[in-house]
Amino acid sequence: MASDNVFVSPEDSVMTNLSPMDAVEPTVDELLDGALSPYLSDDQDGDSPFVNEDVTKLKHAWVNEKQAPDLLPYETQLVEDLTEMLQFIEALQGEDAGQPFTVMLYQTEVERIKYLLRSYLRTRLQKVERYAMFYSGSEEHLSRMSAGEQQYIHQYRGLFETHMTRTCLDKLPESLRALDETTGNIPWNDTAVVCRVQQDVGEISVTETETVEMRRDNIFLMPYQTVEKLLQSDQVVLL
Amino acid sequence: MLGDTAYKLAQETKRTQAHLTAYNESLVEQLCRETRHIFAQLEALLQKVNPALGRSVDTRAVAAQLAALHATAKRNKRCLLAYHHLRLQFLKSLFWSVGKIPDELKPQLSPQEQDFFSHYAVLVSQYKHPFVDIDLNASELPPRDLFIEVRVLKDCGEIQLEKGSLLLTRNSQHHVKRSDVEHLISQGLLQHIG
Amino acid sequence: MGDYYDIDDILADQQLNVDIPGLATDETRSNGDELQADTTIELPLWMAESLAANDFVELQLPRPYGSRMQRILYASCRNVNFHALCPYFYKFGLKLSLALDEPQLSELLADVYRQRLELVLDAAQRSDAQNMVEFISQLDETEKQTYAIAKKSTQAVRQWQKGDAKLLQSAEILTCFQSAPS
Repeated sequence: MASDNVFVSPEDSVMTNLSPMDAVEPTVDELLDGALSPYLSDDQDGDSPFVNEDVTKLKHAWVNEKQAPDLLPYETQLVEDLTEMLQFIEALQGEDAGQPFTVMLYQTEVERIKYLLRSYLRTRLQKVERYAMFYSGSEEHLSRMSAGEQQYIHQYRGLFETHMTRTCLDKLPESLRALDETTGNIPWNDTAVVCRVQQDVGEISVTETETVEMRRDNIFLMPYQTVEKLLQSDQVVLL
Repeated sequence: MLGDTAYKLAQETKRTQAHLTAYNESLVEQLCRETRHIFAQLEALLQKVNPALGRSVDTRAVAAQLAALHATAKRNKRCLLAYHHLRLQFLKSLFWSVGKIPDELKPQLSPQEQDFFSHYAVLVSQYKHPFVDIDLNASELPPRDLFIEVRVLKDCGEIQLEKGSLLLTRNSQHHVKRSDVEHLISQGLLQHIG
Repeated sequence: MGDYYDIDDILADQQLNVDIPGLATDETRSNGDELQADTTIELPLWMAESLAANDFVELQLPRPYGSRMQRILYASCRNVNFHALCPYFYKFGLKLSLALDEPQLSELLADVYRQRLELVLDAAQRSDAQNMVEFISQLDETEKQTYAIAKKSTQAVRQWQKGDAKLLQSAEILTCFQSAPS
């Protein structure tokens, strides 16, 4: 088939774009993954010895959270593992400084992981604040939060209500004083998102009459609610 | 006309998006007062259509007025909340990027807003506690270089670094770890030059 | 539909008035004369919608969306000064098309938006920003926001292509009051 020749897989295109320079000089990423592999890598089966699964997972979780209009389930285990790992590496540096260059690589990577973690946590806090009225009354959404976030939404809502009451609501007629979901924001789950398919999904229905076939590495622009389930089962990632 | 004061406040809110002006207490007060007045009118109208009083009125016309008044009251509330909400958004983003209220800004804020800011700071610090190593307040720009070159724009005195301390005097230049000084750059005390 | 606190959504509700063949409302009464049935008055949408919900009034499309204007837009929308016509042309138009159940209006809006988007994106990629001032002043608010986003991303791409390391800046928010005009 002609289409076989036209189609270039992502791997092929990366290979053909490599200049000779790139081929001999490893990127900082490659160096880092290699340098940190004894501490970062928990997959030793030789398949991808230089990649720490947790960091990759965090990157996905972070981008997913940034792009999804609604709050996603909290990655409890992942955050815990990575926080512990950071503490471990920092403790390690205290006792054995090692080669200055290696230390610098460690520290750079540590800064990058910290960045991912804090951006992930802050993105979630922003949603929690934005939809505080709605989420705090929704068991479903509360169950997606960490213990810290549950406490946070409760206190934030209280702080917000106190402020509004003191500044204006108290001066309005009594029947107008309430704050509830109707006086707040609700996430729009029909917002369009861009997603990449991680594994073959097959046919899914996008409207009442239309279906599309989702195959690995395909990229789609779709309403969030159409891919919400697939996202939670890691069959797609958002971009 | 009904809704004019709310419109004024909405326009002020729109301007606030680009530029924070002093908290407009008098406009807020005026709008609240008008809303209470609307409710008084609503009650008076309801009295009119009370069949027990046996007065003949055009009930449909009164019902239309009731609907118009009620819509205005709800509109007023939305505009009030939107105005205060936008200012809170401003305060929150100030907290995350600068960490404190700059002195020159204080006169623009109501006492309640300054209260909100300090309570919000407590709230966030409680949440942050388990993540003490990550520094949730740090820059939203992804890290690139571990060390950066900075010039001091305003005297900062001696600051604590991860290891040791450093005296920052105006116009001096330093090669420092980015994570040690990020907050000073956000506050406009240091300039990142390379 | 819009976010509750969204100021643009709030202003879009106010922006233009809907022609209403009418019935008495409070403010016309307070002027001393009662409004007779079958007269046409203009009201902000938030008020008109709530009156229409109880069949007190019947909504009509206001002038910027009337059949004459629609014909002009179909012929050419590229040179229309939307800021003068209605600063919230799309947001308000969308609300109207829902309130009046006029699906062909939302189709027209989408069509017009697509055609003008080309101009907006072109403008955002040009480096002679000074010459664009007049063009930008004639955009509707939605288009202005699109322009701002496109401009930011154009700059980001240029910076990335040059390989410039991004310097940390003082918090953008500080500019929101430091240059305060007195």
